[in-house]
Amino acid sequence: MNIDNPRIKVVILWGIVIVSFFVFWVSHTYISDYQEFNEPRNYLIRAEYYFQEGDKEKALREIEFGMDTFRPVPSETLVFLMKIRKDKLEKNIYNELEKKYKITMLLEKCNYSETVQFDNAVLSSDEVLFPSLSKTTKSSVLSSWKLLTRSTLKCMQTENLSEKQILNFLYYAGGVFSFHSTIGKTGASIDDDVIVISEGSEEGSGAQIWFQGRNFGGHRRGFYVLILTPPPCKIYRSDRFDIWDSYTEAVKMTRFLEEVPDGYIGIFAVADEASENMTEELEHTLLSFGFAKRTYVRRELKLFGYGYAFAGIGVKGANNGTAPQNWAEYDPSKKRIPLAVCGVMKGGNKP
Amino acid sequence: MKYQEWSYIAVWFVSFVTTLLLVPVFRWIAIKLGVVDMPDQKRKVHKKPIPYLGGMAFYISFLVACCFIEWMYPQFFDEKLTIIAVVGTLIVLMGLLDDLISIPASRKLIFELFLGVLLYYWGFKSTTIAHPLGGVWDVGWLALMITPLWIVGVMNAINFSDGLDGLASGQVAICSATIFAISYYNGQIFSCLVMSILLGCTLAFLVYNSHPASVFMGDTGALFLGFVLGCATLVERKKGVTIVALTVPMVVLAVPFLDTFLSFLRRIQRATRGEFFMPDRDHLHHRLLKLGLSQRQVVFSLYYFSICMGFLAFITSLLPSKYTFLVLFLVCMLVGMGVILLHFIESIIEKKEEIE
Repeated sequence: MNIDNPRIKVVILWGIVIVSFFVFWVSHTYISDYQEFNEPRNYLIRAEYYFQEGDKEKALREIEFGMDTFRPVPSETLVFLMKIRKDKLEKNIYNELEKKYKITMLLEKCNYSETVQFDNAVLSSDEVLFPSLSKTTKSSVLSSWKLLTRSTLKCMQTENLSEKQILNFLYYAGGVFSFHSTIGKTGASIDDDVIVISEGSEEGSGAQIWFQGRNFGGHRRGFYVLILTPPPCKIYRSDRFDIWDSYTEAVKMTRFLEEVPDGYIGIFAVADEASENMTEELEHTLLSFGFAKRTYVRRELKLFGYGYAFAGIGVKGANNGTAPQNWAEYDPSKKRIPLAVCGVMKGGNKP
Repeated sequence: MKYQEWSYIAVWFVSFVTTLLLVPVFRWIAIKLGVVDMPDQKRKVHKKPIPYLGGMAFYISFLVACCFIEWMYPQFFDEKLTIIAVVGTLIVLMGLLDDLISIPASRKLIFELFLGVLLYYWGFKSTTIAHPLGGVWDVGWLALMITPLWIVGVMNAINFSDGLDGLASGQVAICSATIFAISYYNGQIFSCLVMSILLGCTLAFLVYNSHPASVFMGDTGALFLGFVLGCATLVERKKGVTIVALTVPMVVLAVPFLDTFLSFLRRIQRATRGEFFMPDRDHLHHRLLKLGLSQRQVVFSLYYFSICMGFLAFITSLLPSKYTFLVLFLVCMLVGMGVILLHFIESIIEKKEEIE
């Protein structure tokens, strides 16, 4: 076969290219759909699919996984959860979900509107009974409220919410709290209230670590760390490490944390960004405080990702996953500041 | 070894093996269709007809590698790979047309610029360039001009250097290895993956294309390689700074860019005779051959020069931008000195021949 006409050769070779591209495109579409479905973040799509297939158990498992892994939990998750559980739902779970949902919606509204009506019945819920706060904690809470509501201040400043309402707001907005002075499931305890608030990547972000009426956080970018001795808790060391800026800071922070003796309490809060130069060593050292990689960043299990807020209270030497930690994802397409709140309270009736 | 390092090795291996298997297939198709490059006494250096559809293997290997990344490493897959595949297909179609019925260079240039603009709108752009006194300049709307010019420049630089057995593929392999090293050091996964693909393709192709070559890549292959190389250097990172600032690939691609620049100057000289787009036999490799070096010697000396530039580029990438400019200046001086030296040797030989 020797074709003399170059145009026929062009047609044949173009045919090969077009067929190859077509095969590539079909494969790409198929793989992309498959990967989209299996992407950890798309738990709602999977839950919807399993629900349609009649597998309610699997759908629920997907929702639980999603809520445990991705913060903040989108309101669609709660709507879906209500949809599939409505018929058999126990009353108290439903009420709590409804409140959580309302608060989430409230937060969303606050970011875009100045006139939001607060539902005091939701905020002053009896479902979550926070302890009456000590004087120092009360001022901390009020300060943290100012931080929390920076993006929502315009619509909240006219409200005169009590500290209990604020704590309820924090709780329902996705805050992780540990009660009766116990630091999660680490087995260790702390002898005063601690509230940690972290704001992720956005202009003017900050971090607050409130302990004994003092704020150990600030508005400069980086990882704020406060180390306490075991009870009676005394301040051992505190520092800030700008992990975004340089790798050297990550090395310095690793050394700083490695020097902390076992049993000491580590309180962590990210301001703006602290993952750009995160090293495996630093991540490993952070895990030694009882934290766990609980969220997916580009399908990889991580402590947190680029621009995320991260707040945690851990104990050096504790088992992985026993310390309370919270995180919130940075989404540049949304104006909302990623906010993670975490705390250990002296009293409370919530296990 | 980290998970992503394994992914680079796997992607390199897939593109290497695919190219290794596909080149003989396209060689066979080229022979069957009579798509062979016949030797001539003017520009061409080879002595016997050689099939030139090898570049098609790069294209298909690239598509296979893209699917492989999306399947095995979805966390590293970027939609930009799909954009490269789509625009790359248009480049390959144009390259084939040029290889088979030779389209006018001016039309080719317009089409390439059009594709560059298309890429700009699809997010391949350099909106910042390094400032000689440190920091970066935001070039704003000028990026719309810089992006197509950069892509067309790299594509044609690689195409012009495809004049000797293994020269273009070897130089692309060296450039890819350098950009891979720089991107790896900066933790830029996308760039590393694209460079792994290019490295796999070109190294496998060298098995068939080293002197004496049994297959050529043709315009299709050279343009496609240049296009992918150009695109990969234009991807931006999170806070708006180009991964590999354009000064670094300029240093890596010093040899092909120099050749293109000299060719451009010669063409301007010929423009008065209406021969601006006419090819000639005065490319760097042709001139080195005229000096009496063998084809292999020319290729290896240009490899050597590219490797040196590669090291320089790597060091440059570690420096603040004000020093980057000093290095770029140094490179220009060295290259200029090399050109003068070459010209000097050529004139000595000419005079010697005249005397004889």
